[in-house]
Amino acid sequence: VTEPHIQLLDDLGVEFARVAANHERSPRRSRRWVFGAAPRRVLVIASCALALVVCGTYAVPPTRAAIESIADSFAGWVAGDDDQPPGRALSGGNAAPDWVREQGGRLIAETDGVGLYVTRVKTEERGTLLTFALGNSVSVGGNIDDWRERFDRHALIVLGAGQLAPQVSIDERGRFPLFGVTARWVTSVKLVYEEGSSLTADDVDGGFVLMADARRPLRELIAHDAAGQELERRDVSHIDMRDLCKQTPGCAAP
Amino acid sequence: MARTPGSSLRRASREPSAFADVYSAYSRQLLIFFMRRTFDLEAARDLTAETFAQAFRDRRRFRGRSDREADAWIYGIARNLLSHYGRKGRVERKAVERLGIQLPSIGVGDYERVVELAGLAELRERVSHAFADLSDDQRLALRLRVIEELPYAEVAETLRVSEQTARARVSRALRRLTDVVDLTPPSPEVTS
Repeated sequence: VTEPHIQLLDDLGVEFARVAANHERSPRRSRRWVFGAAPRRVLVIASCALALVVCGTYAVPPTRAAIESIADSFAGWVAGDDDQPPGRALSGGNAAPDWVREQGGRLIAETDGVGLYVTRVKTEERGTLLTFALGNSVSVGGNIDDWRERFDRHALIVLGAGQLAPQVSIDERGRFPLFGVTARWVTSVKLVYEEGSSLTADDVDGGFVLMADARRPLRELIAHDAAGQELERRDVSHIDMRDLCKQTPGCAAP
Repeated sequence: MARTPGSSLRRASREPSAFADVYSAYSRQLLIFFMRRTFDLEAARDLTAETFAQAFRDRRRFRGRSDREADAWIYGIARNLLSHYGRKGRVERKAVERLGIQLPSIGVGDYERVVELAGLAELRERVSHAFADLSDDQRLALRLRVIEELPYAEVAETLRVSEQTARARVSRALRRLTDVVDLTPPSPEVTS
């Protein structure tokens, strides 16, 4: 006897398969396990090599003699120092997810009501976890060592595309939110498309939310300091929302 | 080698994709488990999703090997969430949100199938009989506290008894109704 089919369980199964595949592709924990017993120097070298291979960073060396990692923007707060918390406290007007509020999260950046939030949570197994909420439905997290590996010697890190609401990725103007974090001296971030005008987030302070055009292929993000000096470029051509745009009502070709 | 829920859960700690076997083994029975206790498919869906999200998040904490240990671990998460739902009146979604899980919509066909699978019609009838079999005192106490949602102080005042007695009557009534609902989790399906 065949058991009746339950569509919602199939759909939920697809979601968990997607999440599992993402973890399979970026096995932070297993990487730590592999290098867990190795000297820290090996870990640092491996992390840098991995960052160069995986992250698609352009060869734009930081021009400052003293490098302040993005991780330094969060490390003190993660360690329990509340004197210099990142971002701003949440207000009633922020559309922060409930779990971000419950965990005393902070608002790093906000554009058109879409926020980038950060929370810290103490765990017994992995120490204090730093989690970024990309809008209301997507989050990325890890402990400070995980992040330090990823942030090391970078002025700009792309966290990814988030969602405007559960199951809503693109707004009525054909835009999607693109999130990232920056070192403290970064004051603006420019998104360059393959063609056409670029989009700039000014007054950047620790992170950004760019409402990117889902109808155009992206090329790169460029971080600048207050003097207009270019600090870092990141390839974002892998973030391509055009297929999703075609399936979204109102997201027509320009 | 046969893939059992226990071995799949263990394997998922180093191979996240193995979690698919865990999901296959438990998803249907967990949805029904929650449906029989909440009578609400949306809540049952959310509780099922959060159970798997927490299991996925904490999969490295599973130290067992056998299917029985896997059952106990998964249903431990499920019962905790159900308890939270009972106390707070809302489903905890922290792990679902943290993993970015999108909850699927519920079709009319799904609702009918799950109601049938959960045997809700029969369960409602059994609960109804059990409710009718309660003593008058217990039935009234339960009605005031659970259906009319009065605080215990008001329940006691209405019944002209002490608050402690009111609590005891509600508690005994709930226990008798709970006996009607099978709280034993079903055995998981085994994939191979």
